[in-house]
Amino acid sequence: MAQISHQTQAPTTTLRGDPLAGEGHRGLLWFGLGLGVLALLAGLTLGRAELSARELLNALWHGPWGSEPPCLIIWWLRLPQTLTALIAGAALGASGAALQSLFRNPLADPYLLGVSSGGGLGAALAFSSGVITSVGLWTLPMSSFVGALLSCALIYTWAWRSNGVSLEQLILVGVALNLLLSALLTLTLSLSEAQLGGVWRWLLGRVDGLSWVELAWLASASALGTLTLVKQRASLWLFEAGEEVAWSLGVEVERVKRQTLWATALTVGGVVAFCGVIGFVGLMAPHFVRPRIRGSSTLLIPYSALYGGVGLALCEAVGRLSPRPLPIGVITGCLGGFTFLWVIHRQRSTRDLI
Amino acid sequence: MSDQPSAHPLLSCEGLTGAFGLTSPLTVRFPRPALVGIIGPNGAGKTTLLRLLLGLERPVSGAVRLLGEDPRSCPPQRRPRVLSYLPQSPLSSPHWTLTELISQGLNAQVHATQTARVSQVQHTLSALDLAPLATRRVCEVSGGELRRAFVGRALIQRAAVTFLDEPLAHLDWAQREALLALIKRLSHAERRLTVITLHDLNLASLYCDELILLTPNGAPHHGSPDELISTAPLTTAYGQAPTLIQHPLCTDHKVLVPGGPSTVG
Repeated sequence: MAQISHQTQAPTTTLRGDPLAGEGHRGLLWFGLGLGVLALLAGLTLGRAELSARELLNALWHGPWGSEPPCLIIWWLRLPQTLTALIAGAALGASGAALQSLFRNPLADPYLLGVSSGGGLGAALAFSSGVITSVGLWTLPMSSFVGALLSCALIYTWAWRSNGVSLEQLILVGVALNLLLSALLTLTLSLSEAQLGGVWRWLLGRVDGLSWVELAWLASASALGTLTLVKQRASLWLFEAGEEVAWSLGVEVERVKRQTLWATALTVGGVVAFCGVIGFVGLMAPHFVRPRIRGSSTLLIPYSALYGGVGLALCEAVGRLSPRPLPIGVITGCLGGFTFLWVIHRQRSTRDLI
Repeated sequence: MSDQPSAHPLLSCEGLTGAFGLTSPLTVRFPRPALVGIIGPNGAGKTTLLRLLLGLERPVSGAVRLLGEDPRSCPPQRRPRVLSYLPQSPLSSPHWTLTELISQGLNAQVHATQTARVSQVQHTLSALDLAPLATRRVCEVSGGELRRAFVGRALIQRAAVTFLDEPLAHLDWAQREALLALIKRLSHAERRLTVITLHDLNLASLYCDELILLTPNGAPHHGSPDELISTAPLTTAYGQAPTLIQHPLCTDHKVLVPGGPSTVG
């Protein structure tokens, strides 16, 4: 019955708007924006210091230049923290979605290309060699960013064949190099005599304590990479049909692969440099979005960015309820793990995940 | 000659050999729109030949020309106009709707208006009897319906040469014949060359305009179904004498029937 009533209307309604996108995603958009507002409110109100609504509004009204405690709390602690979570989550969500499409693999996450272990090794080397105290605060993000980009470059070169980069090789080399670099990271940490609490905390992920300048750097790297991925969304969608079919449909396959990998390395490298390794967001966001954008598959990447950002900001707000500060990776891991299991349980009837 | 406005044949190859299968050189020329079937036993190199012709594999020797140029050096923007391709095991995501799946074939038509795209997709959906399933997702349709949608994606591209690798796989006999008849009707109506690989020699005999018969480790043959669906070439290619009878309705075509217990072993 349902299919007959669809017969005349359906194709017209599913093809309007963005490159062949349907209307079914409107609800998803409003829900995501609503959650974003909720996350922002939670981010401003939750915390150890009790602020009244009046103090809160006053602080917001006076801007970041006020010197009273509420002003400092809002503008220098809570707001940067929530914004960091939104930006990092969006970057991780978009990168995860792009890599899952590119590799046609539901297990692909933003750290597939060795960015996390490479960044971690860079940071650990900087810590243990002592340069961190001599050169200053920027050494940690810089060394981990360089480590992340280097490991991505290594994987890309290793997977290069005469006629381009093989996606199967990339995934295998990525897994192998991730293991190797993680072992080297552990080795560095075990041999080092320096105080490594900072590295451990950073490895578990954090979104607090970023200055506005650091936040600006994080935002620039994330925006550049995420926008590149969003621009590629139609080509990346065609990669889900297989690389050869994408080629026959006119996709410049090598260019898309190259740009996707570098955009991901840049975005995720930036996130790893400032926030450490926040797990699960990049894996989860696309899985949440994919079954819900019926008829608008080209919008997977922007929606994964939206839900990644909002999801991480909510996790961050939840984390502030804890009496002791929690690494955000713990919260995303717990919440993400349970949500993921639930998603898999619900999808058992409709076959695989990609 | 009037069939082909361009000076080049739609598809031609000279002395073509590939790395796997197709060890003896093949030289063919297809100047006019037609339905061309590639037949031969398992392992004779049907898929290899198809992939060589569309430029996905590098020839060991010889050259392929699609509209006069090497498909491997065709610029990406023009590629979808020149060729379209359906692999043997096409990939999809369970969350795509059939409308989306078919609309992938319109990827290259960046200048087409939304209305034009919608009407093309609708037209293809109804030609394939899939109109009621337009908003169904891949995980909600049967294997046969999905297969038809994949063929639709290759056809909607309206490329000069369409390559379909076993488009009839996993379909029952009635659907196989209906789909092949549709493929033939469209390739003649829209004046394109369609190259398919298939296992069903009877459908090849009844529907294909020309055939390429591949023999493992032997020379490939090119000819009309009438020439190739006959005892001598089939015995050489398959290593087994076929039992051929005249088709009761299409009396100028021969079809193959099982030989029965006395012919095997």
